[in-house]
Amino acid sequence: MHAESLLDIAMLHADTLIEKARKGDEKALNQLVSLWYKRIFNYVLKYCSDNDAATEISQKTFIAMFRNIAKLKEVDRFKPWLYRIATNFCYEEGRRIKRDKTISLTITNDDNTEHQAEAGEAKGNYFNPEKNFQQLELEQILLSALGELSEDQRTVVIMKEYEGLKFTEIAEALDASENTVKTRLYRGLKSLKEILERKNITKETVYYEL
Amino acid sequence: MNYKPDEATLTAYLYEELSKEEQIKVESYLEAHPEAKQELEDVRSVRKIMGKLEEKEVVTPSFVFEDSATVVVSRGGGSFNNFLRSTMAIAASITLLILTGYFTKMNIGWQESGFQISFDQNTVQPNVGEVSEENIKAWMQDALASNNEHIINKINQVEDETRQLRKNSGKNQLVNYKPDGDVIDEYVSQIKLENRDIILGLMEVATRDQKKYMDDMMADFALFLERQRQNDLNVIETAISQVANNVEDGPDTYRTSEE
Repeated sequence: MHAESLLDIAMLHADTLIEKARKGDEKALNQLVSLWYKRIFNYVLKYCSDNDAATEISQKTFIAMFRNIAKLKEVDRFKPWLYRIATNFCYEEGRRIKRDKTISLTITNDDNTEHQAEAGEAKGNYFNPEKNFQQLELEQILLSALGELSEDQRTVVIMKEYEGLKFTEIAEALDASENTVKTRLYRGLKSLKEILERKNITKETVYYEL
Repeated sequence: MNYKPDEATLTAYLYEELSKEEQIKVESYLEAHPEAKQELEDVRSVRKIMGKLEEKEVVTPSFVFEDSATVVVSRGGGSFNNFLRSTMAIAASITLLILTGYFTKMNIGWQESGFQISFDQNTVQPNVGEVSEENIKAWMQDALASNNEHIINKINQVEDETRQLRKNSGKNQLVNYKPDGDVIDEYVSQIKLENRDIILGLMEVATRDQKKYMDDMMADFALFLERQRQNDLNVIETAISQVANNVEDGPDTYRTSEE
């Protein structure tokens, strides 16, 4: 975990908080939620690239956390443990969608890109609307590229690249060996390269466009 | 050199987690195998591109952990929460309706005369009887009579008011006003007093002004005299000094000036 913000630092020193939460301290539980919600939400969002699903899975994750935290043996295992819960819900959601065959995981709200860009402009949050639009477009492509990876590769790539987990933590969260995790990551990145090339996204296009 | 790093090792190399020796081994392998090096570079650039995907800000919902069976998620739109909210809203609306009905003593029901919604007291509309010509005439008569009575009352009232007004207005006319002696005396004495005050004030101010003027004039005169004296003295002094000069210059000068 890169300590980039106060939140990150707080996360790194949350042992006493987890200890309290294990004893059922509601305040501590809510503090844990506020520390981790953004992380888990972003993790899940990258996995399923759907806002509503991400919200639902994040909430499920924290409810499960509340119900099971007493069973957590070691406090410093909290992080992989939490990601494990989230990942399981992600898999479950993926299976449900596959079963229902209603919406594809990969093709997401591409149509919303323009809309989102407009919303951003309207809020006046962005200095350069055009650049922002391109950024949103790129993000959509990257998200859908992630969605094309296999579940195993996807989780590893997100956990390592975006969540900054250590290989041991990923291994623990996924119940796999570290070597497996590393192999999956390498293969995941290689397939991403192919997917991105197919989508005409290369280092050059990205950096010239933006 | 049969060494070929596996994908796990390459990953570790990519994330700089290899030991020094292993790292050197991998590097030498990559030097020997440009295609492997290229592949690794590609993976690196993929990582860079993927880094463009930014974090999304999100509103953290607050959870109410009541017991292990119920967890209420507020803010963030949990489906259970929505259900609870709408149920509560419906229940509250019904309660409100019932309470309103109770407090206004609303009554809905079938009476002899038909369907009836009433508030407060449950009164039954008196049976007005048949609608016949005589009845209508009688009702109209009644209505007209009461209306006439009302109009007459109104007219009387207005007349009274007019009379009153006329009476009052007569009093206020200046022409008709005849003051008695006392009032005039009082008024005159009041004016006298006021005048006296004004004149007293005027006198006072005039005296003060005059005194000031006199003072100023005296002071000015004294100053004038003083200056006059000074001037005279100056003249005398000049004259004396001139005489003195002439004396010093000798009788010749004096003589020439005389000539």
